[in-house]
Amino acid sequence: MSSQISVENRAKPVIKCSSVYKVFGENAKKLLAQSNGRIDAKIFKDAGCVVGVNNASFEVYEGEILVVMGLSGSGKSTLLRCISRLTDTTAGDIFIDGQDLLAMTSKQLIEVRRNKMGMVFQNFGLLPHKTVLENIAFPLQVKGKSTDESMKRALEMVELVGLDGRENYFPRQLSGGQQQRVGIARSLAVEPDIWFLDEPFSALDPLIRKEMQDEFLRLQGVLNKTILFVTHDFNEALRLADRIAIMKDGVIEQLDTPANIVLRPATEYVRKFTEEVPREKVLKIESVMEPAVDQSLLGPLQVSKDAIIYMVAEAVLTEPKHVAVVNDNGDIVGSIHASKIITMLFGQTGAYDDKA
Amino acid sequence: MDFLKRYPKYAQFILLLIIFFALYLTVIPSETNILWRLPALFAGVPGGINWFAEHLMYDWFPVEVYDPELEEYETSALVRELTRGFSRGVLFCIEFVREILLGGVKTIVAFTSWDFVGENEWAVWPALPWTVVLGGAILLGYALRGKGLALLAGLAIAYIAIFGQWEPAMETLSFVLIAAPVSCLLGLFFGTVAYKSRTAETILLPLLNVAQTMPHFSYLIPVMVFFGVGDHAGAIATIIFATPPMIRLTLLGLKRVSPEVVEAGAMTGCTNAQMMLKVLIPTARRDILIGTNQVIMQCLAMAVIASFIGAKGLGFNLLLALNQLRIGQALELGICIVLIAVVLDKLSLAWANKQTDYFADDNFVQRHKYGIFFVILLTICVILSFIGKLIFGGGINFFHLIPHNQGITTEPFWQAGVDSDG
Ligand SMILES: Nc1ncnc2c1ncn2[C@@H]1O[C@H](COP(=O)(O)OP(=O)(O)OP(=O)(O)O)[C@@H](O)[C@H]1O
Ligand SMILES: [Mg+2]
Repeated sequence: MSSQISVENRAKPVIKCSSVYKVFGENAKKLLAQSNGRIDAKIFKDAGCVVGVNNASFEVYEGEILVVMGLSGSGKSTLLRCISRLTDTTAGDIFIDGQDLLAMTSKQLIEVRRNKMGMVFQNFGLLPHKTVLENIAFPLQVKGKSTDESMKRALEMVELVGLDGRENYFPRQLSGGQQQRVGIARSLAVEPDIWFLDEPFSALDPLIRKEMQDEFLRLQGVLNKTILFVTHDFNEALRLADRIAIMKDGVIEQLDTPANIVLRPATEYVRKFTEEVPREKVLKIESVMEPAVDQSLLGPLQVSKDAIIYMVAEAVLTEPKHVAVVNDNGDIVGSIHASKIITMLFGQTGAYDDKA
Repeated sequence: MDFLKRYPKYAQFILLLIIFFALYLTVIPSETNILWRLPALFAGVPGGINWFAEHLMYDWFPVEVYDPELEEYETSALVRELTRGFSRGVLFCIEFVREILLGGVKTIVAFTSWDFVGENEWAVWPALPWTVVLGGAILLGYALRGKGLALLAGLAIAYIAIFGQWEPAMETLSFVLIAAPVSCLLGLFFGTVAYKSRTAETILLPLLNVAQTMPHFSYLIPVMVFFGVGDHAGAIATIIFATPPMIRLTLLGLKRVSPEVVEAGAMTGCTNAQMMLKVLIPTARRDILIGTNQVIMQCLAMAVIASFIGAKGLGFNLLLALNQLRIGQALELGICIVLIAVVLDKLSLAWANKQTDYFADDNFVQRHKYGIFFVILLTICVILSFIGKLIFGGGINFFHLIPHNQGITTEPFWQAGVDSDG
């Protein structure tokens, strides 16, 4: 969420998609060639085709979490499938670490999948005949690791996702949440660089979901992977995302930081989509602070200008005086008062939009 | 017109009546009239097929083959040599398993010659004492599942031995132990091929339909023509008969594997072979196991039918018993067949469902405990059969092999019933 993508990382995207199209149907390729890149959903529909992904171009950088959002059927899973080459894209180019994914031979693809990619599936995709442990060890065994070694590693992963004591259960003996943890453990067993997660926490109850999100962030703090994360839940997206992509009918409507998505929606659809989002969870103190006041009016408390409002709200509210806002070097760049936070939290939305 | 529209059914009916009477009045009943009797267009077909098969087997594509017994070259037809070679292979496998169980010289002959066996008296493979098979079955049942299966296997084998059906039962078993795995493997192979390729599927499905609706007996003639008579012919007929359900169930099972599982397999970087062997087939296991169950049942169902073309064993004896109206014996033989089927089915199921314990920190003895048990068992039973030789002297050694019809039997009881009726 708050990891800053450094400039040098920007130069080398881990995942790069340019004009990726995925159209389901018999003569998808022909239709797409005729349409010249401009897709009219109706024509395609009449021809018996369904548009899954429509002209997706974006880059994901090392260590970044890109959250893909959108309504059901908007093509999120399809996008993920294209990037992992589980389905063949109809048109466009995808590069993984600079390598042309679509030009890879099946051998190269297998290598990439074995070493670079991990995926958590929406419906778990566990092997029903294998126990928890065997499921987690499976990618390692496929790679040709010895039984001893892979079981040892699998056991570590079991502990990591908190399934100790259930190693020998079969997937059918686990709850949805537990199965998803097995899926997560399995996808992490080979230590992939790129991690695809397709609604990994949807099957979990809110409490466990929160726990898993924390766990996810902790893991990401340690592992620093490049992540594509699909979710329905805006709060989840806000907690996790470095950037958010919002999809509608296969089109990526907007791809930007959470604050920009909320404050500067690129399309009407995105505006509607983000209407209900609590802004204090998205915005930084910077966007609501006032010019620095006199030193005598300031209390002892200082907050970073990059802090999310929601995170520091309580502290600011308990401070009767103005609170100093500082930058990374500790210089005071502005101030904020509890009254401002109160308006922010309980006043009408829109009152501060212009401030950003 | 109005009538036609209002009552289309009546109109049809009247039309048909008119056609019927028109034909009835115009067609002259004479053997030469094609409208009366279709000429025997196909009369030549059976003869043609006969000719074709004969030509194929005896004349087509002559090749020179070396006959080791006569030590000279002979001319023979290619197809015949191929089917012969195949028959020999199948027969060798059956004889091999059979001689492990019952003893004999044919396997040794296969590697040497009849002369060698004639000259060397020691060159006979001894029969396994039935107690070893009993103990082995119990051990296997215990190792694969537990006490219940051990008990079942033990009781079944004991029944067979005690009721004096040991030899035919082992003959049948040797036949099934070859036919069933071959059918399963063939079924798996064709099932996966059909799963992978649409063309293969469209070709296979109608063939399966034909194969599964054909009466069992109709397999016997072509098999006899091409492979002759004997255990191998029985096994081949059985394989042809038992494979189709396996193919079907394999295909069904593979098709039912959820796409997510396939995708998960792909994402872990499975090669095609790994995908098939480690993901698809195990996931489709439930249906495939029903397939193996079917195969085993079919094999034993064919035991009797295959005896028509020379398969030895329980089926043959059952046939004889039925011909002689020996109901008691037929009943006991029937039970033997059922028991073998049930035990094999349960054992194969248990084997497929066996779980491994990865963290059992076993030493050598623990890891190989069943092997060690078996060796001990073998030694004890062999010693026991030598002791039996001393006890029973020149008579039948009941600790080694119980000869056919020397066990206890309930036959007099049933026979009394039949006789008093008759
Ligand atoms: N194999 C397929 N064949 C035809 N159409 C498909 C196929 N897979 C997906 N689609 C279509 O593509 C569109 C996008 O599907 P996708 O699964 O990507 O949606 P999603 O955004 O993941 O939805 P959800 O949130 O429900 O998972 C849908 O309209 C769907 O009907
Ligand atoms: Mg989806």
